Amino acid sequence: MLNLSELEQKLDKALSAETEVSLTVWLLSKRKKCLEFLGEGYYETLSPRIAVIEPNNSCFGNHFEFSNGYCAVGENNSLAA
Amino acid sequence: MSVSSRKMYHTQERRNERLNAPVICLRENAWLGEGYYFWDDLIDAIQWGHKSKRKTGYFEVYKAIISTENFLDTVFNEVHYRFWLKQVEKAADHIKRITGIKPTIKEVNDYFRERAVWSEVDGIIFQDIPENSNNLKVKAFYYRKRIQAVVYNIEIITTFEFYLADKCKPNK
Repeated sequence: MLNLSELEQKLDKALSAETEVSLTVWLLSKRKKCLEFLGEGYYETLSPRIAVIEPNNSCFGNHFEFSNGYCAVGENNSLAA
Repeated sequence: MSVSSRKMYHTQERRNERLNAPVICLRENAWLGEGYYFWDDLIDAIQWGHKSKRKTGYFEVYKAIISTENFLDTVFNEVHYRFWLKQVEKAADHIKRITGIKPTIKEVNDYFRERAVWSEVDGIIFQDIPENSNNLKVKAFYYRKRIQAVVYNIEIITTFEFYLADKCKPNK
């Protein structure tokens, strides 16, 4: 029969002993292991390209451009289906 | 079979030779970490064979008797369920607060086993939502629990024997 109080005490003790570094390192080591099947290599950050449609010039073939203006499409994975 | 034993089912691809022990699940997305996974209901064991044990075109289901005395039974034991829920949420909150990263259920469970050293827990009985309503007798309501167990200590599996084999259904 499991002693639940003992289990809880062990968990509380482990959690209270964690620091930001110890817990982050442990968690990332789990995730790194998860990605090891990809083989050796490095990760490259993919910056979202922001396509902007300017309302005043929305005729075909001109203003799909990259800037910080107007309607951001594709930013922060907010694309609709 | 004693009160603290359960009959459960283990599904694998059909191999050249019959198994005499379950196969450990090492998949990184296994909900409750590395362990031996079993189904409570034969229906689910067979459905899992059709869905996920397709490499050889055939699957096998093995019947096991598992001693569950040192299990966390989050399905039928309310005390265990409420305890497990509280510990999962406490650990998840703590990990998120300290690291800023929301953990998966597998990571929380790994934490229990590796950092809190819950070595006395031989396994966990848990449930999720069935995926195939064709196996239900009423329309549009999952009245039946899909129950699984993960076993961490293989020594508590007292019987393990072949039960059935079947050909995987063609993919739709």
